[in-house]
Amino acid sequence: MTSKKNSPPRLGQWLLKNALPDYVSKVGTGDYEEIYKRIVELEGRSKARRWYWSQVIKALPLFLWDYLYWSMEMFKNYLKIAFRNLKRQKGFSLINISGLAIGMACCLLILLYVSDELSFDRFHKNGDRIYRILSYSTIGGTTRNFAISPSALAPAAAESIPEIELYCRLYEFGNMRLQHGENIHEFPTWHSADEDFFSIFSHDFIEGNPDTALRQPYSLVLPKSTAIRIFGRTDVLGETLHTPNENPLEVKITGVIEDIPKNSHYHFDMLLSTLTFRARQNEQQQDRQRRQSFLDEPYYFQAYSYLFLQENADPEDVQAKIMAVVEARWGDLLRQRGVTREYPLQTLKDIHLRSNYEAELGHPGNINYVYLFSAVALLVLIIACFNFINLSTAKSAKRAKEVGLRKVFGAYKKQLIKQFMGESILLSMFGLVLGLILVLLALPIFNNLTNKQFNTYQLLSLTVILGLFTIIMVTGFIAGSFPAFVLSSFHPVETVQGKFASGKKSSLLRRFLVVIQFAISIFMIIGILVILKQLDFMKNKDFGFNKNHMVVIINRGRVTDAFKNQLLQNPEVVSVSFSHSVPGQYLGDDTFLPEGRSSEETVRASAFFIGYDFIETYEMEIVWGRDFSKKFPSDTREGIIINQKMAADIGWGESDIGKELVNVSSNNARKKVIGIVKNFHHKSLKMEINPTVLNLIPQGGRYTTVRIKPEDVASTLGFLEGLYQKTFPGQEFEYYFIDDDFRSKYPEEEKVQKIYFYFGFLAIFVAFLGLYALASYTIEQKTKEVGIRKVLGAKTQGLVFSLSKEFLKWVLLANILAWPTAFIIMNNWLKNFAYRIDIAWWMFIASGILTMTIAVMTISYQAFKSAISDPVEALRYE
Amino acid sequence: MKLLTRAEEMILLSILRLKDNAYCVPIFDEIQRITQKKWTMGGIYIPLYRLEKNGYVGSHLGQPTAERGGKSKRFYWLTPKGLKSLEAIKKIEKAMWEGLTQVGTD
Repeated sequence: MTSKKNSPPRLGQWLLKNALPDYVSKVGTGDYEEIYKRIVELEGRSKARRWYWSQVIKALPLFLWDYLYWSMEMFKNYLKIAFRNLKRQKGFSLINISGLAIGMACCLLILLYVSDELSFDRFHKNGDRIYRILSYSTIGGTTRNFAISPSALAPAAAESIPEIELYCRLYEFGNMRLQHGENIHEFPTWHSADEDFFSIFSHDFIEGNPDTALRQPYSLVLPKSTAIRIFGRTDVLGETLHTPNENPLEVKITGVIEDIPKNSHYHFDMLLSTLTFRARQNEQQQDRQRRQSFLDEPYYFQAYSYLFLQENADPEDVQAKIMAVVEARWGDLLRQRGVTREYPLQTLKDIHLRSNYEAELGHPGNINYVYLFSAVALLVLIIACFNFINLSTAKSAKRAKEVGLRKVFGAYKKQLIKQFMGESILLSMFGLVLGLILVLLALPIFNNLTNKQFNTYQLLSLTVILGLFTIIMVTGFIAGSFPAFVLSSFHPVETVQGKFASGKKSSLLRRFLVVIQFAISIFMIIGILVILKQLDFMKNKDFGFNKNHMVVIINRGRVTDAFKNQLLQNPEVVSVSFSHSVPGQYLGDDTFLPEGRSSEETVRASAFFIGYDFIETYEMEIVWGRDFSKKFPSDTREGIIINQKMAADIGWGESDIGKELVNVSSNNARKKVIGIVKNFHHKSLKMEINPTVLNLIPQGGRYTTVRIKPEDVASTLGFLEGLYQKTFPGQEFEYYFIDDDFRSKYPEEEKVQKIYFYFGFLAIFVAFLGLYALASYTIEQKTKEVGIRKVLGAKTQGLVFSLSKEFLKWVLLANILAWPTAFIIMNNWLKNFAYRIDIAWWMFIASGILTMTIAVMTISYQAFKSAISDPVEALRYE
Repeated sequence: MKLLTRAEEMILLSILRLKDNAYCVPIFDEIQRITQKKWTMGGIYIPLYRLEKNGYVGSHLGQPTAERGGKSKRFYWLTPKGLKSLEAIKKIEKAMWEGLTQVGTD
């Protein structure tokens, strides 16, 4: 008879052991086992097992009830004591709970933000198999990284690489007008995609079939909101729309999908099948010579190409194979043009946060900000938590007597730990409830700040609830752990006798926590200063041209000199110029070979195409040479202006005006440098100024730039619109201000700065709240000391000074800790910007002085209160 | 002194009857034998604990044995208070039965 076979079921034993009250747990399980064995011998194992289980099941509620009953009795007592403590120290408790509430509210809001950022593109069913082809293009030593890739690449790759199951290209175009009945609807952007788009990306179809929706030319898929905008309903399958021009494009609606989730890296108002382009081209060019569609163009650089790989396919392997395909098909062509290209694959989930490429769809986020905010959330929570621990341990001296008494009456250490833990978890729960209320109140402001639409519903999602629960438990646990473990280990006799003052150990811990708290606050102050300064710097940076009071009008017709002259007749209009490019817009590249250089020494430059008076209108500065002028007819043919950076790269100066540049990328056209313009920023300040050339277009242009006088902008705009409508009847007047456009170049930065500013402020606020409470507590502890000193003749100022001294020492130490950390981290952050400020010493001093001042104010206020009090009162305390 | 409940009375009587072998299992058997009913073990732990806490019984631990999975037995005995309470309840029962010779037949 082996003993193992005969012992009762393990799970049952375990249940019993835990359910039986402590006083019978050991003996009890033995009793059960003895009877179990007897039944095994008499009636067999199965019967015994049945008996055992029935006993366990019957016993559980019995004991649990008994256990709960007694716990509830104790719990009632704990609760009573907890509330008494709260009430006795109202101010203290208020600071404690509200500090925690603010901390939690910050943490929660940031949690919302971070989880939203991380949720991008996670809704696609096989998201881990979707990759995007990027292109890194190197010409003449400069590399530019694009989110887009050549149109012809994805189909060519899919054709010869078996791992690629499906591919699809997504194109973004500007401006579409669709007519339904009498109504014309305008769309600022529109998109087109290959047949397999809906096989790769998961979207719910309200109407239509995802597999066939884009298989035919002239197919259009609409998101619900667009369908409702045009038709007022969603059951529009088979309806047709057309463009309102003389050679209309007529499209049929083959699908209506749910609106694209906010957390998708692409958004579209409509999606046209790319087959439409081929069909239309064939239709239009039947009699003319057949030309290649842009869809087959290895140089047509506008496709967002997505690959759907086979399960378990190795993306690096595929990447290498793509390079082989490129080499085989276009290797010679690329070499001939002096271009080196790489086509890395990027996973779908990296697109939103880890994409820092040119020509990205929409505004991608930045993983660094996710880290930054998570860190801020953590820091705020740490500060709040430290406050909580500080205040609880500070209070612990007062509770020592209670602990002693409880011990005398037979409380176990375990029970005391439970009591204190429970109490602090209860408090943190209060903090959470208050924090939730704060979050609800702050949500509209936060939405405004982050440009997202969080709602209360989202707050109650499973992850958030789990997050909340963890926060409560962790905060409560950390905050409660010190008082719980230290207090419960006090010797009862000492505490009851009152020998126990606030222990050395706990006050050391408190100081440590205060130092850390302050170090974090100081760090945040420095951070805020640096960020504000950098923002200010970017706002006021000399762009190399004047971007104020510049209106850019988008030309929807051919502009002429007559139009320009009419504009100039208004005295409010200072200057007018036409151009194909304006600063802030995306620019193409050209490759140039300077005169007298070998063919390897090409320079890659962004190319502007500008009309006459452009440089004057933008108030750019010609350093050497001259602007384009009608007096020099040869300008239209061969004139070119380069920027200082380009001149410096080639090594040209004033004497080199008139030298030749050969445009390698455009039929080796020969250009003559007629002027060198001062460097100007035409991209976000995050990017460095690169070599740039200005080409002349003598007539027409896509944009009209008008410099206006700052007075009465509204009426000048009215004039512009009136004249535009008169010149181009029926066309929409669309314009923007250059400075607004540049501001939108870093919406992320502005957002981040604001968010960081508010949360940093709150963190500092919570830290000072804690300092205030701690100072008042410590000084209260010293009431007797103050009383005696006063009786012995101490002066008020002297007392205030001696009471404050101790705290200031720690605040100073915190400063010393925070400064190098802040310097390193903020310097790193600044490296994100090509044009940035230096961190100045005054920022450190300012943050030091700020913290010191507030600390001195809070502490000396408390000290002063204590110092002017009647010593008799203080000494009667005993 | 509070009156004993029926379960407490039965447990005390079983302990008295079992003398030196009064630990939970025989007590449990004894009660099942007397009442002719199935009991759960849990049902005797709680009254037993209350009895001990209120000083009706005392207990000590025996040696651990293999047949109990290495757990020891807890033996119970009656304290004078326990004995007194049994006498009291017996007196009451006797008084209650006084004059009633046979139940149910009248």
